[in-house]
Amino acid sequence: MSDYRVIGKPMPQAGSREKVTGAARFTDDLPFENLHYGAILRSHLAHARILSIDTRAATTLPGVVAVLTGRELTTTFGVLPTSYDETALAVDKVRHVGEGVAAVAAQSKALALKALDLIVVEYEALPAHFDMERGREVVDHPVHAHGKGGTNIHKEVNLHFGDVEAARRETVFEAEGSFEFAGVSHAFLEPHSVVAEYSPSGELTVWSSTQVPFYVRRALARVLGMDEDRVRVIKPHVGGGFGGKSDPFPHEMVAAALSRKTGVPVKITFSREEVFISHHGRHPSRISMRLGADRSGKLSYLDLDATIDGGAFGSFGVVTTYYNGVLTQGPYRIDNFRYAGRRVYSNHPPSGALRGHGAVNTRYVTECLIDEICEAMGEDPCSFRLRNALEEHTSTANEYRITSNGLRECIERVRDASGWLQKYRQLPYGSGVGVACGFFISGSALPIHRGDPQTIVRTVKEEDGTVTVYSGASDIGQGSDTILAQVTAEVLGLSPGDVRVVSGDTGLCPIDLGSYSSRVTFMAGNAAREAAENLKKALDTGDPPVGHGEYISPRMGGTYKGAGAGLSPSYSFGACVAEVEVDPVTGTIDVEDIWLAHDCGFALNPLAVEGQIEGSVHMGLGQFLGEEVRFEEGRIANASFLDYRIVLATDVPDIHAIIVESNDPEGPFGAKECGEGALHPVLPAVANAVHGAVGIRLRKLPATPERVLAELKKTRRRK
Amino acid sequence: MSFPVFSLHQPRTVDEALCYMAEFRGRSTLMAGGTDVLPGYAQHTNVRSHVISLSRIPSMTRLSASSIGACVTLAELIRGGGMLPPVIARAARGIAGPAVRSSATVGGNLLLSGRCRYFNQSEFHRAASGSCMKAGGSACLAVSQDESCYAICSGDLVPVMLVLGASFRIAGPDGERLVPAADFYLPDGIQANVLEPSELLTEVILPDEASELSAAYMKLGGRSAIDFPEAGVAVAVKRRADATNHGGVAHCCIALGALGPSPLVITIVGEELHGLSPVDLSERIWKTLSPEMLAVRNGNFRPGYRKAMAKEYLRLMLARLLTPSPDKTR
Repeated sequence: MSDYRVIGKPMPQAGSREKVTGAARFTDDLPFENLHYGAILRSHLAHARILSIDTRAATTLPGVVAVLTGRELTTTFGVLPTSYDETALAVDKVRHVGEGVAAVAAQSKALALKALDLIVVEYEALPAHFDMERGREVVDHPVHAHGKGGTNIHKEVNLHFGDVEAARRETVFEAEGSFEFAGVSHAFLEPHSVVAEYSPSGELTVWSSTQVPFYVRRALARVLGMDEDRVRVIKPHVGGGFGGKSDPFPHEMVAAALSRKTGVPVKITFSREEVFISHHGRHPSRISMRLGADRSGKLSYLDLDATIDGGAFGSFGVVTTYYNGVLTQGPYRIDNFRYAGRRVYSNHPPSGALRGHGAVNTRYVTECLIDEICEAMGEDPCSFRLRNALEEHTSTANEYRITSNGLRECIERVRDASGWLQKYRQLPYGSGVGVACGFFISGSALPIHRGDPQTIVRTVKEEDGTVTVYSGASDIGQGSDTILAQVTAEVLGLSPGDVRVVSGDTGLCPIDLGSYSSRVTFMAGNAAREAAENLKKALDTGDPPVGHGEYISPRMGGTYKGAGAGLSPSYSFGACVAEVEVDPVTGTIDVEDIWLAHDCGFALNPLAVEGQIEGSVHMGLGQFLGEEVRFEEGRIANASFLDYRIVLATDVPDIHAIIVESNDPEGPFGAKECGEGALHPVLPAVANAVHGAVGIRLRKLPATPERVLAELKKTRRRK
Repeated sequence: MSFPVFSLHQPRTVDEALCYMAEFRGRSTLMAGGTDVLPGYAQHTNVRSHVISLSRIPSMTRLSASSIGACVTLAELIRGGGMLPPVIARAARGIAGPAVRSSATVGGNLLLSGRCRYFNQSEFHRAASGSCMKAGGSACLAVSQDESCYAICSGDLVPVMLVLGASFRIAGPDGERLVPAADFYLPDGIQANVLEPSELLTEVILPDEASELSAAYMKLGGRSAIDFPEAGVAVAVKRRADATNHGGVAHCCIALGALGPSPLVITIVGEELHGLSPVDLSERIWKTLSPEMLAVRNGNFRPGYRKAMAKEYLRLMLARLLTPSPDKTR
């Protein structure tokens, strides 16, 4: 590998200096002439019919330039074409506390907020649905009329591969359990922000803090009834997304409509509370699983049932429903697999995608149950996992094509680095180690809109000898611009400083579907490599100095319904060992040390890979230890960073990031994802370590000290 | 829903501040560091039209071995705390984070408005959930239908000052008065202390004896920083010169914070300690104090857990502080 000049070397991200010094402009920082401020009136009720909206007083308030209600913008939208169920503002009824009901644009933010106070909405309250277990019941007033057969079921998935019942008869070791997971917020630092400017010639430009400019463009065109080529979406610096900015959002539609109404640029920036309310985070989930192993210690079957609370709208939920099941098909070979999953609508704020999308909770369940099987067998959990690891270049029961696979090395590296063999079951009461594995897609092989090219890169040699890369890929802080520059510089024999990346602008750049599903390095990276190679050829042959590159996933996978879910040209693998100390008196879990090995194929930028691993550990610890979107009658009781408890720097242990390189045959220079997969093993590794320390199994997250203490009491009672 | 507009007044002396307070009586709020007052404005739990800032009154920022100006910041308290009983700086270090501590003050912490998960919410949230009585509603939302306010007394320094035997210097239109911390707090989440609307806390006075105490403070916050306490326990032990009598302890003072709208305090003299193990002693103290605890479901943790942790801290600290080791000043 070492003969590369640029890639494989740690490189600070483009734009880091600007961010550190405060010079970087995020959407809310952008200067505009005659900027007006939008604000959204939000429902206090969780489920209610809108009887009337009186906007007269708001309209006549001096300084107010426009008032908008849902009736004016009734076209539905969403991220998945199967779930176009959101509107810019509520039409006829509200479905969660905080849903937008009306909006205003005014000369100042204070005026806009004042105008909201003047809008009078008359509601008729409807019975609200908060209990996901009851989502399958037929009800008088379901959240959406299209719920299955008068229920609140949004999506049901039933899959069966192999023969679970037959395998069960051969099973010697078995573990089962029911688990409960709270909803989790992305908790990115930069709140959602958008500026929309509608020009006199009928063109709309939108600056938005988004992960998916091309989907936002599509939704804007749809909702506003415009041609897509009249809409331009620009993504400035983004202060984190984690899946929370990967949908087109109502406020983007509202700002655009207000600007079209008034002809002035309109900005909407969320308060932190609005960020929590708009949510689209990890689904609250209830998951039951039965897992078996045969006489030889091989996993024989996995039987899974999951109910997930989708909240008021669809978002990515159809995919989430699939992922909760199908992404248990790695990283181990499990030939008999059954899944019954459902997503139900409720009157909670909508759930959506969050880092590790859809698979984090079932991964937790699987890895915890494996730990129980190992306990029953008296086997070392690392050995058990090594025996059951999927091979390289194989296929799974549900027909995923597995190519490169560094799982074995990951397990061995964390085992050895952590001193596992000296610690496992050998630490004093209160201390313990635990291990878990994970895997994730390196980009969804299917574009959300069939027929879209997944990504195109155009690379141009300028007159001054430098090179410009045009890519729609969205750098949201993960460093994709740097990756594209590195790949291009490597191919062309330039230094990365001679490569300029123009990205995240639908008006200037060819399409890229966006920064979600851990797809950018693999897909845009491949396209950038191809574009650079084509530019090189053009320069050699004297053709115009432009190189075109694109990436389209190869055809693969099964033909059954849902075969495309979780299908990826490549998968990442990983393993984690955590060492904890549990205080049996207070129930406090101290994570003392954590080792995480991740197979990212090839680390194009090792600094960025380490950063992703560290971020994944932090986020995983957060969901495990304390993060919970606390709903009370549909309201979020902790919509602030004081009450929504992210793990603090002072509580994060030493993180030992171990990069494993399996050199993927189809990844750009062998690279694959590292942004989401690294999160998966974190939570169960800590849970298994807690079991090692004090002998309890945590089946309800977050694992607050109170819950730990309650479990400890139960164990003592049993003794 | 916009940030309320207020006029800012910046007196240079305590007397000037008192004049403003008289002039804008009922319409003003005192502000020192602003780390609690301004969030209150942002959440519309406070919409008073005048803010009287105390940050430019030099006499209120003085710090000595026996007195702490109410406007001394927590950061200054930690930096300059060498002459004070070490428990003060240690407790201050556990409050919020460095940024907040650089402007938050001692007075602000001692007078912190009682906190409650139903009260410390945005105007939007309160409109959706209904306003509690502290926010202008008619009843408590944490204890349904109750007409008392249980907002938690959340100042970490409150139990610390209690066990150190501190007094609060209070300035008012008729001159100054000195109120022992033990007589200062009231069991009401709205009217949480004896300050009259015309009065101002200017200084914390420590008795000479404070420097001779062995004292410690432990809190239940949740994370290792940032979080407000939901239980706080301070213990101070006065040793005798004659170390053989009653384990060498003259008296022991215990204060519990954040277990209700006011702190609880108890002093036990050496004679009563005789023959009691720390476990027995903590049981006895607990029996005495627990009927007075008004911990309800208004925090992040359940009341049962908050109390259990307080009891545990108490046992731990008593065991540590009552073990004879005269040179150990904790």
